[in-house]
Amino acid sequence: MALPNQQTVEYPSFKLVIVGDGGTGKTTFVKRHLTGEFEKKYEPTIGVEVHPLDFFTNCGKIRFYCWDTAGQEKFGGLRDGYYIHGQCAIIMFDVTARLTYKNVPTWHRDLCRVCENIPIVLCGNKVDVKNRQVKAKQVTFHRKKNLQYYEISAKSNYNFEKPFLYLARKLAGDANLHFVESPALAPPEVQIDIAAQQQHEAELLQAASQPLPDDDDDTFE
Amino acid sequence: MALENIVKEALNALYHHPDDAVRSQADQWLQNFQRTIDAWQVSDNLLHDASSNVETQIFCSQTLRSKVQRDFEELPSEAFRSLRDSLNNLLKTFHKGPPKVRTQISLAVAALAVQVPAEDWGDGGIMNWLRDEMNAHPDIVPSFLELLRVLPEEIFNYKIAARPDRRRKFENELASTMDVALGILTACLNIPELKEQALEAFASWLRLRHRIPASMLATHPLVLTALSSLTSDVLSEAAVNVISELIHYTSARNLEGFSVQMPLIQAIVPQVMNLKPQLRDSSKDEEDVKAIARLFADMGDSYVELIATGSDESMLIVHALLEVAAHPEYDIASMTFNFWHNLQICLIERESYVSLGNESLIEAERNRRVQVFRSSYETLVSLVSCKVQYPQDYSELSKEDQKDFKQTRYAVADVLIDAALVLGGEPTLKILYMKLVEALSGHQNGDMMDWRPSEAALYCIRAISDLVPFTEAEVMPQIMSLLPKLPHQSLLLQTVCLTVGAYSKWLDAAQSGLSFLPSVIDILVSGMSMSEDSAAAAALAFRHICDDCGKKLRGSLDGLFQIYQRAMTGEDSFKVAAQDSLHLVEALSIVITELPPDQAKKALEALCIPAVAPLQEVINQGPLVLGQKPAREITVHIDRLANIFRYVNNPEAVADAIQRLWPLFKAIFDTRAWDMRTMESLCRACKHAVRTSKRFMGVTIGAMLEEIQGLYKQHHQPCFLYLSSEVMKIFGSDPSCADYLKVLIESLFSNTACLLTKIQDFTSRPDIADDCFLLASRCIRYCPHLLFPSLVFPSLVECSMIGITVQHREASNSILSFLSDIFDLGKSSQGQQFISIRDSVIVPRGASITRILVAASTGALPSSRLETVAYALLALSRAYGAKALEWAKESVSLIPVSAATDMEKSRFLQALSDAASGADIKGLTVPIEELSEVCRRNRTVQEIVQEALRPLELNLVYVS
Repeated sequence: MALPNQQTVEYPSFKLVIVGDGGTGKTTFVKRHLTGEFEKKYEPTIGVEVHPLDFFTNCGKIRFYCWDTAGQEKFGGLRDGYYIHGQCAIIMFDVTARLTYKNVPTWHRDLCRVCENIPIVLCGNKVDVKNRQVKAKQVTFHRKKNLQYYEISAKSNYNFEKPFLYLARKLAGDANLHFVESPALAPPEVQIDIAAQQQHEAELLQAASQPLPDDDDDTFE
Repeated sequence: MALENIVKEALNALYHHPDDAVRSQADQWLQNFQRTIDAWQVSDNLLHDASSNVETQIFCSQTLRSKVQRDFEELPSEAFRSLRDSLNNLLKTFHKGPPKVRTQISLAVAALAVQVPAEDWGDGGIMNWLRDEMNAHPDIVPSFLELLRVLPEEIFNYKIAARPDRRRKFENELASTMDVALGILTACLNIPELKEQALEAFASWLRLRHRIPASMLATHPLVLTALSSLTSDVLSEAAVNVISELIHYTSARNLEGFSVQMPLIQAIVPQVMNLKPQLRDSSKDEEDVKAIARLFADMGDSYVELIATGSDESMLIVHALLEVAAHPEYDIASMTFNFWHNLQICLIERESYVSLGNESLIEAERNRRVQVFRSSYETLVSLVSCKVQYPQDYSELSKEDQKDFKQTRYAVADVLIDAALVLGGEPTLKILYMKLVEALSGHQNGDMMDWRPSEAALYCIRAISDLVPFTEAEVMPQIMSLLPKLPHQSLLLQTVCLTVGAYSKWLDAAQSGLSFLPSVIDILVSGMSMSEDSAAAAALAFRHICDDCGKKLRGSLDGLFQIYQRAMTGEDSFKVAAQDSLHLVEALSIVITELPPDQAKKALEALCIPAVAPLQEVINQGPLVLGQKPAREITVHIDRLANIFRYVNNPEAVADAIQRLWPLFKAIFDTRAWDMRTMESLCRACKHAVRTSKRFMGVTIGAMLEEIQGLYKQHHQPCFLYLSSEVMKIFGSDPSCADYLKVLIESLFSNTACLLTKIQDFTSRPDIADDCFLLASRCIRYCPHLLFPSLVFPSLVECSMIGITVQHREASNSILSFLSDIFDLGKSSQGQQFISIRDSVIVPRGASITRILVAASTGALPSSRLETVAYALLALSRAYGAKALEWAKESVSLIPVSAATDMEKSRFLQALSDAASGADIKGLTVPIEELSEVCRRNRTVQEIVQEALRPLELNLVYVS
């Protein structure tokens, strides 16, 4: 699926389309790799922005041309006009906003109507936030074919590489492909560290169906 | 041909040009092009032009589809027929062309059908027309099949600019022609090469599930074909999709619901069960195995109430699900985890049995069912408990893979809890204890022990700790005596420590508990010395032990303090990371709380020393050194003090401490006010001091507020606003504080209002806007007597009006909640007395506020924010009745009729009027949503509406 003019580098490159509702963190996610800055501000993406992201694998360097598309209807630009030639995709939702998960099937359908049978990763972003609305267990959409799910946190770099690794393996048809060096990521803004994890662990064990208690610390009543 | 060529060129640039600027220019041009009326003709021309490449064809088909979806209303009404014919021609032209182009054209036809009523469509409406076309042109049936497939999918496609009414009617049109659709699809089954498409289209029509009679489906040829195709190579994917839809279709909330579906369920289940051997077939592709597992998981999720009855058939499904749970691939095994959880609820919760009526019947039936499922859950425990064992190469895994493995363990722990709820804590503990014994006995006849199986068993034992009764006296004492004998391997020790922590309540309550405490503390001390991970676990366990066994430990205070000091100074062999040391701080703080007052003060002082000393040392070196330290070196100590203030539940002692420490805090405030991280940490410490010591704060609170009030003017740290709001909660209603709190909020609000004078300011400092309006809402609740009479109130309201339309989610929510709180003031008895002041501020601005809120609901804010905006509008109407209706009428009348009809507007106004006359707000949001949807239906309309409702930004000048 190499395109005549797209290959501006001499190593394999792939068009990756990133879609999902506005405000789910698509731009923040791709920009962690580029500038390393976590942006507190929110300025909606207008139309599309293309970012080349390089990864080093045991089989050599590869590049993803990430087409970071606008999530908000109002700023959508050409929408699925950007999907043409997409070889793989990421669908992003925000685990702190239920509606963004509800809209995942629509994004998936629109994508599949233009790009048939491409590997797709579903990413639940913002897992660092305490007030989760979509629990890992409630995410079942990825039972569909050719879909993999990862929980990520663009803010803390958590699982940043995983989606790219899954896509690279599928595209290369090599389940053992791995990244040999980590991309230069910005220092994480928040640490999902072991201690916090263990605390979670203790609390997660309580019961799956119960909503996590809000930390009184940060909530206003 | 000029335009056609530019389109081609622009597309080439968009998809292939390496230069961002060129690409973005092409993008912009194409976006503008799509909005022109020429786009209809140009796209059509390019689609008929044999020299167009695939990119051009796809793009033009998408453009045409978008035009039909969004801009159909820009065509004169008589254009419909020729548009329909031209799209039909394209369907025919492309029936052998690129499938993606055909898909887009099918979508265009579907969008047309959604918008054009059946009577205008002619030929008996879309479905009859479609059938006739298929009969007339058998050669292009595949194109029409695709159209048939997308029709039900497009009912709820909100990109189509149809009005809500029309959308509902379209759904009815399709539902009433269900027999036509299923007839066509059934006919297609006779042609082998159409089977797959027919099944896919059938899956899509099952979306209208509540319109399809269940009795019809059980023997329907489409269902039978789908079932028999499950094992076919080519058709299995389509078949799986159909069956998955059917399983969802047949799910019900209760047994009566299921009885209607039984014939179909009985047709589905045996066929799916036949797939069971494939789960273990290693020659199968992983995606195929996943698809089969999905069907089993779907059955489990959809039929759980039915399965819970424990009938013979349902046990077959349970056994199949156990097999899925046994699959080595975690992603597959875990598909069943929701089922085990839901089944557990069905078996345990009383609601499942209420229909039985009497208590003894309920009890008997529950016992019977639990008995039926006992062995399944026992098997499940064995199956999943293996999955938590650390892999041999764990240490070589990447950090993230290690984290993933931990996530796996959490999920398994949840399943174990479900199992323990069904089996009971003690029996589950026994199963797991046997595993532990087994793991340990292995090592007696070998040379080196593999610690992994024992670690896994212990992890599982820890997982179910909440379900093991305190009175358990058989297994737990044996486990507790085993723990000190286990080898000191880092990951094992980590789990040992966590187990100790998890059973702290048992240690406190059990008869033999006290005798275990010394050895348990020894384990924790060695945990703190082994590795950072085991130290983290030990610190957490230490907190649990102190929390639950505090009374038993009071005599060992010196020993505890020694451990604390070793961990805090970090000079020792202890490997407790800064973050984890907070658990120890918390642990000691809890123990101190239990002490008599005089001892508590002393102990608190001792507790603070390891944090205070290093801070004091830095401060003694002067402001230059203090200012240059990395934030982390300061905050680590402040965070410890914050935890002390938070957990030593002794107001006087904490007040005493903060008073003593204030000069130190002030020095840090003064020197590092520019540094957000240090300020956040410091404000957090102050917040906890205020929360714990409340009125004992005495003079310190005044000094603290004076400090942040002064610093805010220069440094605008949002955490100053946050700390102030914490103070309001405690002191807001205290008459003796009224004077200086008034000065404080006036200063903070007027300074903030100067910062946020236009929407761009809100966009660039959403954190300040967020905290400012959260504080304002707190003031409404805790000290309305300070806020409303103040001169700062009107400027705060104006500031909020500027920021309503900020895109940042939290900031916009805080602003809208602030306004709603103002409107809802009359709901509290305390607020009543300020209504006249409020009205004097809101009434003159009411028309503008309403206009901005209407603009926000009709497009200025994303539709995901609509609920909050709608509430504000309805609360406004409730507060201002006829006046608010006038404002709303005025605003809505600005929206041109081309955008929203009088009927749509009047429904909207009716909802507001109902709110004004006291109807429950929850039931009134639909008309607001519908006007919102209508005004956003396409870009042109949205722009017309937004233009009509301008200006949104009020540019005001503030005098501070």
